[in-house]
Amino acid sequence: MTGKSSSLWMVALTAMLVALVAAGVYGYAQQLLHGDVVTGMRTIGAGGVVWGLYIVMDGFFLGAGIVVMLSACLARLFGGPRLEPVARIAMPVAITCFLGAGLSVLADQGRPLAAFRALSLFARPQSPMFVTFTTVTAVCLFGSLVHCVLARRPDLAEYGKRESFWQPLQRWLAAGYAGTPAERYRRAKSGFWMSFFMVPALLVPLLALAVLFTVRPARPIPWALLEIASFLLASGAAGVGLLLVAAGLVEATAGQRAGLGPIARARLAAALLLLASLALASSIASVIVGLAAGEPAVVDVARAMVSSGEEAPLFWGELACFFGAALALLWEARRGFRRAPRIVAAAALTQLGAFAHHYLQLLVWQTHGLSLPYTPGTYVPTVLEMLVGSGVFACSLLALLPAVRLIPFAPVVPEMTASVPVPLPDWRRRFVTVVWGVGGGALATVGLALSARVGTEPFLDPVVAGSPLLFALGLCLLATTGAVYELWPERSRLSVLTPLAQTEQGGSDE
Amino acid sequence: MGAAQAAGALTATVANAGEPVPAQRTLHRWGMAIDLDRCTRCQACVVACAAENNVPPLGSEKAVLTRPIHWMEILVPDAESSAVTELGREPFPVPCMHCDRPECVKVCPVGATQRSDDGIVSQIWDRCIGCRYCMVACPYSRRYFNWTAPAWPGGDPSSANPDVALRPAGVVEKCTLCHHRIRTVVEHARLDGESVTDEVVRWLPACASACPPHAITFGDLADPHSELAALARDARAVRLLDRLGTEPKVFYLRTRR
Repeated sequence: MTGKSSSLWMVALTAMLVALVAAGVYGYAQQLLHGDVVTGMRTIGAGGVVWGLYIVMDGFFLGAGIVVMLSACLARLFGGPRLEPVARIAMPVAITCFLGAGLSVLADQGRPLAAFRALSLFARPQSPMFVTFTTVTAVCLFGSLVHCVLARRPDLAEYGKRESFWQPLQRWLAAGYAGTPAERYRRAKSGFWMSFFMVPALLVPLLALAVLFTVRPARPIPWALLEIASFLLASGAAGVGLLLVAAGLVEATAGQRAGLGPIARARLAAALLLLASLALASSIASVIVGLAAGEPAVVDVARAMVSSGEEAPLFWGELACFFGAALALLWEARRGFRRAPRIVAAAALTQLGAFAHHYLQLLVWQTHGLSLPYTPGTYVPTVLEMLVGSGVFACSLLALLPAVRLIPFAPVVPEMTASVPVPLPDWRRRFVTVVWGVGGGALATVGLALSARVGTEPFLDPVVAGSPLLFALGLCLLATTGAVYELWPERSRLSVLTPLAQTEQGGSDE
Repeated sequence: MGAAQAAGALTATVANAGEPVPAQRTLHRWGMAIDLDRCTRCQACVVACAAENNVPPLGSEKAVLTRPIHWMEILVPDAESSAVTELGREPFPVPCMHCDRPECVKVCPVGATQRSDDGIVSQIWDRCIGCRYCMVACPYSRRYFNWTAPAWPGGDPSSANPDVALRPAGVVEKCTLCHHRIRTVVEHARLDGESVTDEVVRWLPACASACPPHAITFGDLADPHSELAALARDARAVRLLDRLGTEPKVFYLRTRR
């Protein structure tokens, strides 16, 4: 793609996204003006659902985003330089997903402003929503942003030397980076440890989301466990698939050098093959177990999905998507996953399958699986609701466009292939980093304990109003510990002692 | 109204911040029994509840059909649904069950719904953010969301009961067991230095007082000599979806047939 056609393509895409955002804003304004009556949601038990398209989108974006970010962390932890492109592409994609998830939840709230206030002041850790609110804000969104910027500082330093609109910001973000051996060493080390700590911090909201989507009263435990597993697997397939689709788009627009490369693509495609196959198997197993379950409400849900409900075509469509994707990937596996377009097509299919899976998992039990014999219902999103949904999607993508201008996907500094020398220990830096991390951890712990109303009547408010914010702030401080370690100014002249093992270097440059 | 004040306005046992809760007020455990032999399904309870608690008519016909608010409702079991209850396939009235282990309270992210010491599961409208997680969690589906701003006939809510707050659009609401009436009775008894007797509270909630055949009995489950406690021990007494372990405090007396 030439430079001129590429910029035309970008202008067209931006215009389309701006139009979609405008339509979404109009839809949301109508919703704020007239209430949620403009959506297709209705009273549960009166033939409707109370969680509809917005929460499905939240589950899809958040689940996929967490898996994408997990892929980035695992690639930096265990992949070495050859898998560094995974982290490079995954981080902006994950941030886009988290933004989409946040906007989707916001669109769903009956009183969005009250939600900001009440969640900041009174959020309860006993509710699964607490985790998704605090950790998604603090760990997923903020932590990913910090991780992303730190990982790309060498490239930013190079890009900052070129004349462009983004140059001042690029220079500011890369401020002080000179590519010295000590800096490269610290970058490798902070990248490793940030990835290490982000893995469990990302798994917690993913599990909370799975519980939020699947666990209901009157559900047999085997079925509930299968539902949780199928949610996680579908999210996994969605995340890895999204990464492959994004990489395909990056290669098409910014060239092969900006893409994944054959090794990383093959690894991701193999992972997608496994996840899509398991998601397919778990969806089928979930329905079979549901049909055989003793609980009538569960049987009704399984029956509605297989044959009797209006959602049955969607269920079979979901299976077809996962099956088609798995088959295509299996075919490609024989050729060593060399054909990128086919892999991207299969990855796109898994996106559809995963979205359908989340849609069915959240909605069918509301229309068909109630414990009391209410009239079975149906749910059709209204045009306004779909406008808001598309607006959320477009808004997230629109945020990505300037971000990729600021930090382009294409690397300037080659990935590291040789070992980095270990500098002399800088005790002042270590001390500040430890104090920062411990302070963040302590703040998060205090915030969590106060939010949980430990030792108080459950009726009462937290001892300190705003303790959920303290918890989130503590997590944010923790997430910036790597930045403190990396950016703390040099105090002493460093000299080289020993080479660092290559596995620890992660994303270092040469 | 602050959150703690709002909560205090909706529950009988928690007073304003700093005020000690008198021991006698925490002894109650309010509940209800519905005798299906007596119930004629006349829906007087439904109408009385709506009038007492300012449940507004929703305005447009579409809204009435698809987004109703009924704190008390006569549930007609649907033929298509295979969900089974302890009450068979006959219609029956369903208020909030005021569970001792309420699922809605567990999941509320901001503490907008609470179970007070006297067993009433209340909703703090001012605190509610409209996430509807409580509606998703309630196995009885006894919570209602205000999909739009309440529309009063002629746009005038002046006929509303001043004892019950009007709810805005975007919040969840539910049966409070006519808590405002309970609070009045309990406060009067406290000021008079008397205990709350079974006779005084027996028909206290609007649904119970409006029921022509007296099918609904309200009372204190903590008092073993109350009529409600006796009805709860009756061989016909069952609780809806008892197997879920939510410990509902509304008892149904099954028909003898």
